Amino acid sequence: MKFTFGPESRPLDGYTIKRAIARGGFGEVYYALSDSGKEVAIKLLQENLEIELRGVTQCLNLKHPNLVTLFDIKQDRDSDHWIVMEFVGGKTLDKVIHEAPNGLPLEDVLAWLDGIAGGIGYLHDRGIVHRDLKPANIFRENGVVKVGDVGLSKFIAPSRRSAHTQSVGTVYYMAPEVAKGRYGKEVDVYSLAIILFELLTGKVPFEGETTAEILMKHLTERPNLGAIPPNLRAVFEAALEKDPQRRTSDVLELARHFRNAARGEVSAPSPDIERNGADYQEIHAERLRICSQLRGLLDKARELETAADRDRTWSRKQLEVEELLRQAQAIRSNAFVHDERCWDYSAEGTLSSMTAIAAKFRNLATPRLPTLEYADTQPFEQPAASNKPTPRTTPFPKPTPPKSGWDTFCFSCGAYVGGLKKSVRAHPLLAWLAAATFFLFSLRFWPGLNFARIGHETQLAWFLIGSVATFEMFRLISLGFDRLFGPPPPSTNERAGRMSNAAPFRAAYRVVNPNSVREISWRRRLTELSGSLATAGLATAVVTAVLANVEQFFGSTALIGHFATGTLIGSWSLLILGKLREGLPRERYIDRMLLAGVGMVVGVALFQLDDWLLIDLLANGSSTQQSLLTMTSTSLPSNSHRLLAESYIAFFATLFGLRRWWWQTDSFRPYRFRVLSVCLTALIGSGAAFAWGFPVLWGTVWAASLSSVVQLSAVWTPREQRQ
Amino acid sequence: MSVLWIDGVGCFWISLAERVTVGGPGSPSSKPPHPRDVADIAILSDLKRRHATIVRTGEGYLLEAHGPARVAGRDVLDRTTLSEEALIELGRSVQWRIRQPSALSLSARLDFVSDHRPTQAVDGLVMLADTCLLGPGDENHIVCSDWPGQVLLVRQQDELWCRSRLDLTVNGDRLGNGKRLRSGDVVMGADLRFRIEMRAVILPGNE
Repeated sequence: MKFTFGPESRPLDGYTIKRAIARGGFGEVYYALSDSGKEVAIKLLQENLEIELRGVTQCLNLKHPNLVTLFDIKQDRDSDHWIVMEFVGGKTLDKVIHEAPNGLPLEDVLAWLDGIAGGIGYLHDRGIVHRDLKPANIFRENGVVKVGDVGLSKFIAPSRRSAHTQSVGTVYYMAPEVAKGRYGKEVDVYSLAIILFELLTGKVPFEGETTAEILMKHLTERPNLGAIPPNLRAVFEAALEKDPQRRTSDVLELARHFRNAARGEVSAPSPDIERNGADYQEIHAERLRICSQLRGLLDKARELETAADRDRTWSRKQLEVEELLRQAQAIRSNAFVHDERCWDYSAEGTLSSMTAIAAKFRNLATPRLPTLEYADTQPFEQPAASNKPTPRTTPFPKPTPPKSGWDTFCFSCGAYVGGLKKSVRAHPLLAWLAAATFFLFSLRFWPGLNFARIGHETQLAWFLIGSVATFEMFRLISLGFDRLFGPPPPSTNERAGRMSNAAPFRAAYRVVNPNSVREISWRRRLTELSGSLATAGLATAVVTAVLANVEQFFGSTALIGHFATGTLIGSWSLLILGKLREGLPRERYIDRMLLAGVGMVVGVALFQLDDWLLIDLLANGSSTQQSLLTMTSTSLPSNSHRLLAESYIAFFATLFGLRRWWWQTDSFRPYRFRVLSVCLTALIGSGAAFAWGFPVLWGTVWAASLSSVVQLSAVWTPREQRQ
Repeated sequence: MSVLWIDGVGCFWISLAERVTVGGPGSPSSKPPHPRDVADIAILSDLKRRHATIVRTGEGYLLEAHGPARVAGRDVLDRTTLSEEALIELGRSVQWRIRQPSALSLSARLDFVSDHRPTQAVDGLVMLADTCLLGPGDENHIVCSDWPGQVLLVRQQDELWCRSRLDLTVNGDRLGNGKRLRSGDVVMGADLRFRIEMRAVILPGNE
């Protein structure tokens, strides 16, 4: 094939030819680039110049997506005319038919038909007849069908598929009346019907060795529609009518008829089936059934596709589409198991369409996560819900908050042990020191025990209380160690937050509890304190009066006075200290130290009172007190029957220091009066008395009385009034 | 990279390299991108600038994925072999198919299945290992239906030579037993013509 212009030629200013595309009877077509890089097809008009120019000029300003756009008509230096037009890069329909010698799937045929009918219908609507409609003039690029060579026409070419023959027009697609010089729009209808025939079957209806033979068949012979699906035959009979007056009048009408007929019945018998036999009838019926099923699945898939395109929900609907495709593939497998002849090309086309839809969903659905295996069903990316913060999980979940009182007790014990373990882990040296102290302490005291006299219960109680006291001391020391050398402690609010996390049942007090920092004026402190001190006097009197009525508790009036004075001094000390520290940032270690110091002062005062009143608590106590004194006398420097100052000081210092008294004196304490607090205080009092050679009964009762009095006398703010 | 402009057939890129990178055009900037930042085949698509690499080995071809890619319907996490007619999917919508039409040649042709192209039309890419066959049959790397016979582009080290039994000329000189092709040479016969251009790198918008 020879072309006039070679590569890199510039016959037209502004355009460089890169290669030749094709040659037709009307001229040569080249692929060229404009100086700015725009791709164009330029066509050199060599023959039929006048006809070409007239036709092209008519169509120069037509715009339709299914027509190849004409940009301009130019003349070169030799006065040759060139048409500058849109370059369409896709395959021509001619090539597509060549690659599918047995015809195309019905879905593809419909897609081509829509594009061709759209473009030609537009031309007809503008009063223009194409007159040279043939597969070599039809392109598809980016899924859009485009009809080219608009405005060109007239002569008959001997070759069906040659795009570079000397003649314009192709005899295989030419309507019979063209031979008589009639060029109505029916010629395009006829040509389109021939193209559709070829698309479905792979062959044109009229073939021959010569142009005359083919022309004669167009004029006289009825087309053999045996290879056409029965439901479409009527459409072809109407469109291939010899008389243009009786022919389908419009390409859009032809397209509509074709589509309607195809929708009604999409199966097409192939030539290898015996059409008149019972076997054919059975297979044909099976084909219809399969096609109907597939059509239903395809319709559903298209509905999903439409919805997904609208809502951008490809990920969500992908599984449904995959399921539909799986069903369609199962139908295909069953058809092949039953009789492979039941599976025809239209069914294959439907399945291809579904596969394409599924592929689209795979492409547009959420990208997939890279996995070690090729997991088709796993999304590439995390779903949107994963944007929520993931709850932090720990291998050891926090214990469930206790509900009942017993649960509370167990939970508190667990928390205490947990805190102790934490301290031991943090300060192993101190822990070893505490253990050694306890051991030596035990060695010091155990030999003095008279088991026969004190009994096993007392022995066990002593051991338990001694253990608790030792460990508590260790804990206090470790806390102090932390305070002095460790990292800064969390703020009160942080602690409150931790409390709320650890135990929801404490959440109610996380802001309004005795640890809450708040501003309290000194006037208010004094006012409340004065009231509390007065109330404490009354409460002390009541408690003392109650105890005075208990037989054999007080042996003398001096003892009553001593007890009342001790209770009053002790409770006032606790109330004063509590009120002074109320609302200030809590330093538990310092508060305990302060309390212990106050306890020592109280102990000193009571010892002075004891000494001044010459009270012999030991003589007026129970037998247990006597026994305990005997037992603990080895620990004290004196064998006197009177209590030593050390016993008083140590007892009250321990009682005040071990107990968190601010939880009983603060106006934000959880309850106004808590029996459990009284009992716990009494227990600690008995332990302290036990430890320091103080009369256990007195120690227990004094501790219980102090707890009762301070709770009764301290101001209490109801929870709902706390701010 | 060489470009073949073949009359009546199309435009094909020929690569002699063992590794060909594929990617998107990248975002436009005031400065032209450095050649090493541009893929050998930069197509107008939503791909990373260097999205994948096609590697020719002694026995076949591999795809190294640098972005989301699938071969024959399966995700490629690192690299995979490319079998005959394997469909390569890059990103969401770019589709290529690899073919080795001749059993006598290790060269492969990459066809654009989807409509994504470089900034100007290209019909395919040939990764030339030893020879590139041009002719009318399907066994040719570039099918030229209307040609009367076959033309071979033969690699000799890093040079391309043209050989054929047809009576051809190169820039007007008879081909004879073969001629080395240089950029701009036009090979012409009675029914065929093609031109070759050789470029160090083809930048987007500068084909």
